[in-house]
Amino acid sequence: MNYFKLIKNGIVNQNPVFVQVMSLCPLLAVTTSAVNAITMGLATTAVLICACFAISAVRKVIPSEIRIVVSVIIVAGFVTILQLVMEAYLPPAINESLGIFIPLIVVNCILFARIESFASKNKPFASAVDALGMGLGFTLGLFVIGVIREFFGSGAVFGIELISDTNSHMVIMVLAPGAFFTLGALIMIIHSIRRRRGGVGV
Amino acid sequence: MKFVLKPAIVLFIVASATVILLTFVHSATLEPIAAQARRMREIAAIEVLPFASMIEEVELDDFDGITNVFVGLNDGLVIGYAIEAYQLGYSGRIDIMVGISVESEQITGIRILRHTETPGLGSLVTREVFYGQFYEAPLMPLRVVRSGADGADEINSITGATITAVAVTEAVNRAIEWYSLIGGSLR
Repeated sequence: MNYFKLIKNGIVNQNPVFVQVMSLCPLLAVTTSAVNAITMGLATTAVLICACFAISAVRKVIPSEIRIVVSVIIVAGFVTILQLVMEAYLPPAINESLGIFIPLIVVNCILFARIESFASKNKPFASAVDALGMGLGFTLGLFVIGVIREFFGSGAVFGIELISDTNSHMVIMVLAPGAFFTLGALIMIIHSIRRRRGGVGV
Repeated sequence: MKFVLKPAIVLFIVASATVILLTFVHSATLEPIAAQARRMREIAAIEVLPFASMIEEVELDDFDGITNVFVGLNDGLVIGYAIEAYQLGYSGRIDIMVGISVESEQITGIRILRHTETPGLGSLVTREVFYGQFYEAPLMPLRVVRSGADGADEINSITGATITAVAVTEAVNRAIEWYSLIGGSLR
């Protein structure tokens, strides 16, 4: 098993955001600023790694009829732990703005895609590496969209104000439509580059 | 029989292990979470009562729209109140902290503690351009105008997001009401 290839696969070849176009719900909702995007991405990555490792470790003793139920219990457990830890040790402002989307990691489709297609068939360490790659790919996608939306929508990057004149802010960029515009434009650019290089587009 | 029993036992073990782990994490984070909330409140109370040398939380009787009250002390004398009030905004509850000076009978500042307003529109009330307007406002019912506030009791709304601005102003009015009905008698 080539671990480097697994990570590259998650970040580039099978990027959950730009190639697989998964988990759009948190992606579109929390990317109003770069800080939110990175926090959400890393939170998802942490759950992904723990859950994939744990599920892969018990994959041989779990009867296949209750496979999904066990996965849900394990994922929900890790998400709850993450939520409690974030509430206890992160600045309250970040928890407020991520709100409902942290508990909703439970039903994140990247998680179940990796559990079903990878962790339930591979060894724990390889599953964790695969999860790390996918998580970083997701974080990268969130981060790029977050920076673009924050810059055009609130004239700031990482909360540092660059354009203070509120009249020149494109408010639509921090509202829901801005997320779709940004994601659509990025997917278009990325796939036209991939096609030109002889790869397969979507 | 075996077909039912094995999955049931495995499920029981997995669920129990998860619950035990969660219980442990929950009890370990209980105290830090409460401390976070308390610290956030105290920081806001100090910010709206800058001239107080110390603040102290006071016992509160039920009062609609008021959640917590701090007194600001200076040499043992009550010089102001920091009142935590809330009101429903455009998309949920808005919690604010209002500082009132006993001596000048004016508002000494407000802070937005929590809100879920539209990013880029209603959320702009968290900028000083908006909340700074309450500084030195008189203790009378305040009202929101679209623009060009000139009276001491008038507050400009921000980017036309009037529902949010009105909600914040109503919460401030609630705090003023608490002060004039109850706060004065605590002195």
